[in-house]
Amino acid sequence: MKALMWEGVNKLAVGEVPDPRILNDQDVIVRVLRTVTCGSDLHLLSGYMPTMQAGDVIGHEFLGEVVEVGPGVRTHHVGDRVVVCSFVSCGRCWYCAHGLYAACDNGNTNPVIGETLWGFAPGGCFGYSHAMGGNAGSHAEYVRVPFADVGAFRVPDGVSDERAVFASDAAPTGWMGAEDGGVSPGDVVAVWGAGGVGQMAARAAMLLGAERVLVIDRLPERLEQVTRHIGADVLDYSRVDVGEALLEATGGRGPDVCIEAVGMEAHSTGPAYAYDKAKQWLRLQSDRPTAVREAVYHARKGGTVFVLGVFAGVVDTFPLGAIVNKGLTVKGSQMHGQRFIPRLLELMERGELVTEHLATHVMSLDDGPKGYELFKKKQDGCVRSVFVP
Amino acid sequence: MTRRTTLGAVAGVLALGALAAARSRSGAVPDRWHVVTIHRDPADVDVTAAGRPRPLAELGEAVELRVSVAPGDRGTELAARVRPDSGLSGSDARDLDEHVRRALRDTRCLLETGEVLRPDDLGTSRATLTNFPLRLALRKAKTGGRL
Repeated sequence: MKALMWEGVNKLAVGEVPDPRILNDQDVIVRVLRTVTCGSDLHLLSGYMPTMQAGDVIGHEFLGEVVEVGPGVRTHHVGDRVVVCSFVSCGRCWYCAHGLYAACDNGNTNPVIGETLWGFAPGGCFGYSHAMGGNAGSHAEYVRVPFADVGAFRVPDGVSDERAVFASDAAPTGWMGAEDGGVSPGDVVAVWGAGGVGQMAARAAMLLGAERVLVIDRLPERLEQVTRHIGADVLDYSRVDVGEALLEATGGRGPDVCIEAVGMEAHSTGPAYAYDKAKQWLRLQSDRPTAVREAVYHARKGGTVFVLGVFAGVVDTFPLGAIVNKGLTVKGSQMHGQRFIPRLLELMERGELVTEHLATHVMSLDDGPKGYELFKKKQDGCVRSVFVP
Repeated sequence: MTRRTTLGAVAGVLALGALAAARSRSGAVPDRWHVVTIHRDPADVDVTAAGRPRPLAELGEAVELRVSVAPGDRGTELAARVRPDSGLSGSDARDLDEHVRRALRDTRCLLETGEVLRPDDLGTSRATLTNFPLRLALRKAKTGGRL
């Protein structure tokens, strides 16, 4: 079959790979109908996640049709149209039983890396390096889905492929930031990053009853999407002082919940950005935490910061003092999608959660490298490239 | 820029591999108990010679097992170690110690989910100089780590 492979830092190639096969009784094989670029993939491309091997198939946000079912699968049948959570989780360990699916004890077959880097290993993820289990990715014609009864969800007939595919990762990630960030009616919420995840976090905050949601970015086409499709307010950090704007918007209190949806390659303005970029380039820190710093600094006293962006290692100049002296709650997680996807599909079916606009560039899998080039360099107004294998 | 980035990635991988290897070596204390918590009732965690799950049975008699109730709703703690009086030493003891880690992880997965998850292997990942440390670390995918 055809697949998009990581070949080295900033090198991708489309090539032939063997078809996947059922390896466990609870597997299904899915024929991929839509598979999406994600901002976190850019960290693989840039070499900031040094746990890739040349020839690894990438991609983790996808939707498809079940074409083969293992004998232990109970809920899926050949022909089902399913959206698959990007994280591989067993559904039965203590973490899954408590809704912490991304922390699954059994979904990652390479726990040594996570235990070494982070103390304990997270669950597995499709196409996201050997630290996350080395699972083959979804930028392919077919993909094996382990624990399919837990991670694959039948898509209602009334929801299009173009909408439902974002229930795989972007929408549940954003929803997690708002729900686990404790957004409640009357809150003012600030979201750093107007990409797919940031937009979904903003919409989730609104659906959870936030009084006002402000999304911070610098790219006009993304801010325009927020205004037009999400209905939240926007702040262009290249034009306004974010701190002053947030004070003005919150009666001088600061946002109740701050959601960071940017990750380890944050952009910003001023000397702090240059400092972070230089330190990351020299590998003196693995991640650029610019947006996290801002979120921690601007959150109100006693507020909550939720870190949705992907971070791999260590950062420098972290405002621990602000956390202590303002009494903040800081949370972060990979995505517990299995907890949210059924609800998100319902919202999509009712038209309360729209996502199609994120797919600014739809193309053949053959054009995978071009799709990532557009996405990485944010050319031609690219928010997400979607591949149709 | 690309070359520098590549070098940086290589350095990162090297560090990771070295750290993993060091962890693995430092963890190879023959008489340490390795413990996993299994989200099952203690009655479901049978470690008798006749009833123990296959990953544990394959460890043989040189390994001793211990089961206790985990606090709260967490299930059962399953501990294993190479018997201090097993007569094994050096690399033999360390090898068995590593197998203990794998057996505990596989037993947890088996008892919780009904099967041991098998890794993908499309066969397209290629060995290169830069991913050598990563491949080294992956040789101990389940036998290394902090467990």
